[in-house]
Amino acid sequence: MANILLIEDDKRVASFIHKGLTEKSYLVKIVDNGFEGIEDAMSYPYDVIILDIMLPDIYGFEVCKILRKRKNLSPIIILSSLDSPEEKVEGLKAGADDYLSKPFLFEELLARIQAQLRRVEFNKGMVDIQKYAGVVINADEQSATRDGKPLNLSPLEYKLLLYFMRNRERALSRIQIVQAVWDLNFDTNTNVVDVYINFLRKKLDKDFGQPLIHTIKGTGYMFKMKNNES
Amino acid sequence: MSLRKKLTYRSTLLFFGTMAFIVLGTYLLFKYFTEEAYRTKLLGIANLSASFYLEKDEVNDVTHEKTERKFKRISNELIQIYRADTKTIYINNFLHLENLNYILSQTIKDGVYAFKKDNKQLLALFYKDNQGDFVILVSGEDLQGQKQIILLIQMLVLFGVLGTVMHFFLTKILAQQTFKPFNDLIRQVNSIKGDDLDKRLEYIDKDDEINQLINEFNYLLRRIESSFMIQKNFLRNASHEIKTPLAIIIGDIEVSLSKDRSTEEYKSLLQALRMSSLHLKSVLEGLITLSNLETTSNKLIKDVRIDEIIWSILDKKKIEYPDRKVIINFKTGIDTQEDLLEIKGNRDLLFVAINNIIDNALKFSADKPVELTIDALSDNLKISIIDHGEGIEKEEIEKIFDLFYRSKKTSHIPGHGIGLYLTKQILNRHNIEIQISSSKPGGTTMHLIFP
Repeated sequence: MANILLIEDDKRVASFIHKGLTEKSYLVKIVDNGFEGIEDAMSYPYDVIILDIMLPDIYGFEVCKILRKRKNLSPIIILSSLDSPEEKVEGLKAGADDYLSKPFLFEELLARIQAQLRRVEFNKGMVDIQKYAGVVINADEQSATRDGKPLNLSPLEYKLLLYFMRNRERALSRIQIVQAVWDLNFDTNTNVVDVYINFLRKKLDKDFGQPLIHTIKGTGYMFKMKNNES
Repeated sequence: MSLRKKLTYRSTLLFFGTMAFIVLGTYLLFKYFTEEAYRTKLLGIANLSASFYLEKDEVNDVTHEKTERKFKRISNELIQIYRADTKTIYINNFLHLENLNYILSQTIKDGVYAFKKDNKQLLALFYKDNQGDFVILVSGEDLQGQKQIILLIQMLVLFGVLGTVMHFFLTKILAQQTFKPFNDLIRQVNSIKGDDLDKRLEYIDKDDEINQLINEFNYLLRRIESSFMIQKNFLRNASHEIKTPLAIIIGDIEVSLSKDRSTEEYKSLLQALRMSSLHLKSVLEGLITLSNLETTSNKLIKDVRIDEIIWSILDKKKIEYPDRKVIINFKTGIDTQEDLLEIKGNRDLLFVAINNIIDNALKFSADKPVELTIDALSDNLKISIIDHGEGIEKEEIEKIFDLFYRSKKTSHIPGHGIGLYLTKQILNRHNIEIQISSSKPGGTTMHLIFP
């Protein structure tokens, strides 16, 4: 089960997060100040670090910067009650992966933790899918290139491309794509898939000789190199 | 130093400077002309001396007698005559001149040579006569001219000083007169305190700059008063919006704690508490965004993808409304115009604005699905949020964007009247047009038309 380090000095906030996460069977360690938090984070590879900004000794931003400087790559979710857009930018600049302002819904925190865990899991398997048919994925920058040229994708287009890279040379139905890429339990009209495939095609296929995204009548789409057909 | 004093001192200094200039100028010019006049007189004397001493042999006795009479009237001027060829003395020798040679040669060259020695003015005249060439040197002191110059200086200095003193006092009075209205004004402004912003300044004189100032100040007061009132009402409304859910929370807890309850009852209490707390959270978030609006709306302007904002809003709604449906529909045409989805703006504010609309649609349509269409007009992006709720009365449509406005008919649904006001403010800042059509029953559609 995933190990989570919670750096938070407010006992009540820490206690409900601890309770909630433990009940979802996460292993949670609570630390109530910044320096101890850094020490702890360096001594054990936590899967996610939840970091409060207003700590008694140093600012959460500083903790974040120090951890990144020491090459600690655990995903960091910042919790803050200050809630200004500048602060959010500052947090992400300091090397945090996500930012959640207090008060927040517990489910939202849960969703963010899961998203970080997924991302890490995803990046672990990245090596296999990183290159295909001249397309190269840069997971750190969330960007991609084809034949060395940057593709300038929007976040959703990037997600779609990743999904294709992962499931290349397989026929994929629109429903499959929607469920995997959009991850919404809202009813998404499947024409959304067509729209984004169009967006992606324009960037991925238009200026390059060989199209990679192929429409399969009646089914959906397939991502593959033409001459690779067997 | 007060303006009044500054004006007095500076004006006096200026006057004194001007006076000094006039005095000096007058003195120098007067002195020059006095000396010039005396030189002319000396030239006359030189000529007369020449006639008297050297032309006795050339004219008849009558003429010479006349010359002699004239000559005797000469008072304190001294006359010397030198031979021009040998540069030796011919008549009189009362004055010793060190540079005599130079003076004589200059005179022979130019005909007349005038110069000064000590207080004396001297003039040398080259005179050709039948007895040979002579240089006649006349010297004298212009006592009368000097007396006049001294008198002039005395008068000028006296009147200069008197004038300056007079000027000082007159300017002082003038400054007092000029600045009197300012003092009145300062007194009036001082009398206005924070709690009587309804006071206005009284006009002092007609149609001068001070009245313009009073006008502007009164206008400023009016604006301060009105924004003060808005602030006051805002605080009252805001605190009401915060107190109500708090009252519900405290009340629920107090009542529930008054005796033992079943597990079911506790569960429903906690659910009610969750609702009230979430409401409180959204009131606070709305107020914070509102108070940050002025300062943040111009910051962090970037290229943002509207569709990405919508996806992240829907991500959030998934958690808040786990059992509700939103149907997203991209109209044909948009798939070839991806660039329409990219606009310049503040991502966080646009998130708040669109989130409020989607949230309202979900809130006011019971359990019916909400539709969201993304469409391309000729050159604009159009996003429509359609709900199938009860709809809005015609006369209410204008009011729903007012701050703290709540429809009476929807008072059973938690809300605080901040959301749509905020939405409208944010959309205005981004030049995004909002159109509402609503029918009862049938639901409400909000169209956002992007620039």
